[in-house]
Amino acid sequence: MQIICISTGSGSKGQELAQNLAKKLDFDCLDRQDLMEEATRKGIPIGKIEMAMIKPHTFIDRMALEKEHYKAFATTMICERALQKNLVYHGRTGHLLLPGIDNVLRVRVVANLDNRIDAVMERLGLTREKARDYIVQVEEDRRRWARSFYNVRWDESLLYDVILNTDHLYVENAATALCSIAELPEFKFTPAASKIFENILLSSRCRVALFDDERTFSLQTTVRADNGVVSVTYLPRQEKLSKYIPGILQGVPDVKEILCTMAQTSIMWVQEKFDPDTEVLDDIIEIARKWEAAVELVQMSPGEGAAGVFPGFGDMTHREVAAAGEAIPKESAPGAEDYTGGIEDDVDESTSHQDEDLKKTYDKLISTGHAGGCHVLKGSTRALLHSVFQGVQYSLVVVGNIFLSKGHAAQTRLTNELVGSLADQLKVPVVLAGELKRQYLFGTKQLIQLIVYLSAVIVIYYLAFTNQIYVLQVLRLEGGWRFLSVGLLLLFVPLISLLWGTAARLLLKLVRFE
Amino acid sequence: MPELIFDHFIPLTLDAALQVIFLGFIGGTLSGFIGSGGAFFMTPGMMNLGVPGVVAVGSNITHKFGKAMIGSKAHSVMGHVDKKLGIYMLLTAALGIRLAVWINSSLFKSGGDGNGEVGGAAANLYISLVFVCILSIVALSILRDAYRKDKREGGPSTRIADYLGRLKLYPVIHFSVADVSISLWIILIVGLATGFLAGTIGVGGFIGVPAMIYIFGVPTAVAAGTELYLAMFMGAWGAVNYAFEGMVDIRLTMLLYIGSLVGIHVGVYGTKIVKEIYIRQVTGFVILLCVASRGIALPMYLRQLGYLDIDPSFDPYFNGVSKIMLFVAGISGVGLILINVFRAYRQRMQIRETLSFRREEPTGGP
Repeated sequence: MQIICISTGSGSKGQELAQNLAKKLDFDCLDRQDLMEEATRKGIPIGKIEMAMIKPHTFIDRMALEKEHYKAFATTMICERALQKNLVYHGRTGHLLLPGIDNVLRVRVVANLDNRIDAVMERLGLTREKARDYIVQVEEDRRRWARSFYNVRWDESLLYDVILNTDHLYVENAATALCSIAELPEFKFTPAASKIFENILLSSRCRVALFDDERTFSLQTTVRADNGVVSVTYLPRQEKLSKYIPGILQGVPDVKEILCTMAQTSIMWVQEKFDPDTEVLDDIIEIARKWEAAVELVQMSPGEGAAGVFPGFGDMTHREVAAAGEAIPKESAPGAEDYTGGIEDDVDESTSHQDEDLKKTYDKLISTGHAGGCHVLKGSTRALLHSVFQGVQYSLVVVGNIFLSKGHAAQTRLTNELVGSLADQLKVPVVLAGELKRQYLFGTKQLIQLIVYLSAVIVIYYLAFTNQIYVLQVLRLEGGWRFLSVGLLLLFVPLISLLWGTAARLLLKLVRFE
Repeated sequence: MPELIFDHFIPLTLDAALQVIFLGFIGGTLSGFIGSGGAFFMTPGMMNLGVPGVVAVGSNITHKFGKAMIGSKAHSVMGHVDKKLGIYMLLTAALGIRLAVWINSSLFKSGGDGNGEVGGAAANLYISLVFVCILSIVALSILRDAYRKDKREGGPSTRIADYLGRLKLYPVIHFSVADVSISLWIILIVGLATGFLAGTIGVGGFIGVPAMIYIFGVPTAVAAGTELYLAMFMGAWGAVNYAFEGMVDIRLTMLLYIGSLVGIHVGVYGTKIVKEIYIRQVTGFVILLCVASRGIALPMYLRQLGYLDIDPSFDPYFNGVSKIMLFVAGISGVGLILINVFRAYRQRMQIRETLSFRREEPTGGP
């Protein structure tokens, strides 16, 4: 299987290039216009979504849901077309719909503004001024679209593998060049990429099925698929609607098991070896219970002979890891005989006990109602960042024991590097498992803090209310002394707010009311 | 009514202190639930206890300063604060507050209560009238929004923002966090109105947030965060101004904190488990009841100013009914929130199984 995504601005000859390339390679060609027409036929209000992109303040709940509906629909359609025949997709941000699959060839086509204006004038019969305005407006719409859907700059060159300037390159020659590039091993689907592709397709199909059913349309869910196991998390206030989920998803092809977990948010727990009896698991379950969160397990291991952040793959991208090490994940087609309850089966026998522990850990999360998915990953930090589920709103990432084959110093350094990378990428708190209790649970330190703050508050209130007249006299000081009383007030108010605010928060934490 | 200390401050009995804490708790809960300051409940509540309107507003705005400081920090972490927009609005909001404090204090000092026991009837009447007019509009708008039939396709109207955008009143400034471009003149006018209302009745957020959404076109989350950021400075400036006039009763501020800083957590918890439409309905009705409560007290102030010929012995009844109505509003609103909160809290304490379905695998041959 092969997918080539071409992203282009108006008048850059991108469509011409896509059609030419598809003809040369004997690939199918899918245009954004076809995708939108099909979406409109399905009842997705594309026009209103576009309008909401342009005017973000019109983004109400319904539109946010429609946006996700369209995203799931577009992903499903591109994936299904690619399953039938190798595909060239020509649109805005198709390459962003398949996160984690580096084997998609991502092309951007650019051209000089004057040439683009000429092309638009010819195509739409506009005056020069109007053609310029048209291009500027369309570019702005694209910018907002990419920002709203994926929070990226669509013209960011790092999002593409190849950028072609059609000012200096004939479309025919550009297509020929792309044909050669498409033959490179980096752009052929490896078994690992195929597996990610299957998971993306299955989760998108499930999301579309939930959106297509009127009973579950308004459900705010995150859906993850892994080897046929579909994990759905939904908000507590939508608990009543959750009963429809299994019935709807049963009808989706390739679904083997459905886990529905009620959750406000998600916590990712990355570790090399999971232990179902560890205290950290209890702490994470405690936090998940307090936050009503789903916990996603990521068992991440470096390969043999690795160097750098991940020995052997430290300086390689995920694509390189996958291409160079197809033997790393022992892939197999998902089937009933090798189905392991959602845990990937691509590890060798020496690590089977690890899988068993991972399975037990996940079972414990299921039994407490906080299961949010489970993944086994081999590769670099970048591979982890690639595999992070794009649509999930994480509130916390916990990094446990990892880099176990390293010495203590190296392990500490590498773990800290991983924590820093995750925090930069995900923009959420990333903590070490050992720090979890201190930072998020009520421990001795919090108890001492509560006692100190509460004592201070009691003393201040006692002094203030047993000396009310003096306090009021200070507030009524005349002349220049009034400045002193105002100054004291400005210092005192934030102080008492901070002291009692912290004490009240800790008290509520103590009674598990957060 | 008891004699005022230094002609400004009520003597605090245990009963009155507990009532102020209770006001703080209800105000804090509503504040956390609705996302606004809660002054619409606390200010009239304190006035019902006999606190002069100016002192009630002054003490409440001081309370708002500390609370907004903590709240805006949390919003800032989430990226919901457009500090540049907040600072631009603050330029004229400060003027608005100063103007409001001057009017309130002048009316208070003018007395005008020859027929009553409480000082500053003119100020009380003025504050109550502004309160009733502004909050009636706010409550009715919220309720209209909540009961709008076209819920699926609705959303904040952009007509005003679009119209003003087309006018291009230079200089136009771009705000990157909110991702909007607004004329400086419009910002200054809205800032002035927000500051004036914050200074007059302590509820600037009810004007600032809708103005940012409907007039500026700012996303709702950013509008709420930016207003809180603005409220921190407005609160500080309002506190300075009222303190200079000697109109801040720090004891009331401290008592309000006891209740509000607990209540705000309860209210925020409520937003996680209650539907948005339900939040709007509760908000609309609670504000409307607060307005009615203040409206009932108006004849009393008119009588104290000599505009109405009513027996002074009716004053306690006006005050009593107003007080009861306010507490009914607060207690019923908070009661609904608490019922939902504790129901969810109890459910949370129980372990729930993850819903699970496994498709039967075929066991036979081909």
